[in-house]
Amino acid sequence: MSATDANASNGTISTGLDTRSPRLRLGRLIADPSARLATVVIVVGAVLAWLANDYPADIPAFLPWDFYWTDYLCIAFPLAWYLRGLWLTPAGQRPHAMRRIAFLTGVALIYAVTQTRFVYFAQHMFFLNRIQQLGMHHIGPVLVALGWPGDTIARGMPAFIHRIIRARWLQSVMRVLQQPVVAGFIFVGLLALWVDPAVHFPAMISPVLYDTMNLTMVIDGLLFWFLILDPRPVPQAAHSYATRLVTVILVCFPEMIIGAALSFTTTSLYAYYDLCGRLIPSIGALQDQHIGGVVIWIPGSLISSAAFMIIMIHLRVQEDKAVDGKHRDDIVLPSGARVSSASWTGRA
Amino acid sequence: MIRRRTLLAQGLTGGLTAATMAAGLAGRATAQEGLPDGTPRDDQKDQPGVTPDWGNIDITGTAPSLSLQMQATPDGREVTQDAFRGSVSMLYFGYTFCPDICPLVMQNVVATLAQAKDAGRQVRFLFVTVDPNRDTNQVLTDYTQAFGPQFTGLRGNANQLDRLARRYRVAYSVSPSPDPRLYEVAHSSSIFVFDRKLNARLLVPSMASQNPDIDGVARELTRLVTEKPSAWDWLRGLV
Repeated sequence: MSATDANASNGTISTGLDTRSPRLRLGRLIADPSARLATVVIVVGAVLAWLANDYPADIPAFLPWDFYWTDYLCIAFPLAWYLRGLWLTPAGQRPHAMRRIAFLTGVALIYAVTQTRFVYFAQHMFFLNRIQQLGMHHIGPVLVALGWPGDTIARGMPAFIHRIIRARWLQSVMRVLQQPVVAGFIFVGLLALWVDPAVHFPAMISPVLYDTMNLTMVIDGLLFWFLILDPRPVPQAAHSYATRLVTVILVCFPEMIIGAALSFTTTSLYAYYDLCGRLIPSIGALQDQHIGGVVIWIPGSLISSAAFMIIMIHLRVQEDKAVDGKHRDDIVLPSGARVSSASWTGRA
Repeated sequence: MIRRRTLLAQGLTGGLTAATMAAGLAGRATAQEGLPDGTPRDDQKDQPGVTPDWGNIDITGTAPSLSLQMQATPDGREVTQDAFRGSVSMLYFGYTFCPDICPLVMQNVVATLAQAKDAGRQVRFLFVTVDPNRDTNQVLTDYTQAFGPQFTGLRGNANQLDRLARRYRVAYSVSPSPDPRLYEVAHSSSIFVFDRKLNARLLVPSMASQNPDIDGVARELTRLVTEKPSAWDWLRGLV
């Protein structure tokens, strides 16, 4: 679909209709694909909310079990806009298939750990709770950031939301939140805050705090990994590859210390799981806590290391581009034939 | 004793931890400054299935208010939380065939209510069965009436039970078997206490232990029965 069509579908082109008439305004709203999409998202949400609320024992495990509108809307709208954005993008200009797979897998993972029946299991074993938080703060957002969906989502979202996102004040807030020091501090600080035994108990037992915990973790994960995994160099990206390399490694250490501290505890710290019941009776309080510590410690560090490698790849590709190294290592045979070096350098 | 910690204070503690990040948590691991006021005995440490002796925990403002829809003993009519408005209620998940934990809890609760004297007579104990297939209304009625007039049995279908357990984050599982020895039921043994405005106030874990805090819980129940509810309590009860 052309750019003009996209604009028209966002309702930015005057149709010459008298917008003062409520009937015509309603007609235009119905004709607006963005409004139709939003209606579908909300109607699906209402059905899911009703099923989760009234039939928690009967619904299949992949449907929302503990339904929160905030979580649902934060997942459903970006996904719907992304799919619409893909539809509006000419086939040749769509993101690479791997990026699409990464984005959709990341969204599916965040949905799985925040909405489905898995939530029940994560509410009744500390180490599963840690795996849940790893999914929503590390792995899910990393996959979403690798999908680099910004342009596609922007193309699929209504114009007025796009305007809000581009607003100067919001961009200023984002710039502050994505300062590497601030981002790193919030990234580790939130993890430490919610795992603190004094905070963990009310956060698990109160539905409002529980939702706040999950939302802050997902949003912070996205903010952090979008900063770190930006494939572009400066000035398109706000911070250089070197700054981001340092940030992603520095956040590792406090994570390791928190994980290790929990792995070597000798007293049970989390009353909540004892009081509300553990799902696996053969795993005692301390063992649960120790496995939870390992989940913070090892996969957290592995993901930082993986992000480090990915930044290095971005860096190498950009440097290659800068020196036009595309055919620098090709081998020219005496006959005049040429063996392209692309197969071993990866320079396309 | 109820630990009177407000949400704000807990938030501040958390904020401080964020500031000191890992150091805060590493220190806490040895200092044990969190919610639990009981530490497990040495012989209890890391033994699967053994619950450490946590003290009673104040859940005012965190756990949701009482909300349910189930069939109540003795006549099996459908009730909602409104049936218990005006009295202090204790909510417990168990099953009548329970061989060990439930009888111990019930026996300790009876002792606690007796200890609370007049206030104890005004408390309602809600026994929610997690095994409604075997606990028919008649079985549940016979069971609860044996403990006294304050005891009400509640049973619901799978969805009603799941809704209530989910609301209070209570884990339970039932693995039916024709052989009664293989019929396995697991459930949490904590008791949630609600005030007369249906606000969640207290989480009592000690009734399932060999050292129940009967005096402490009786004192707290008396306080809840005799306290004057404020407008704020009413507002909180709506959440």
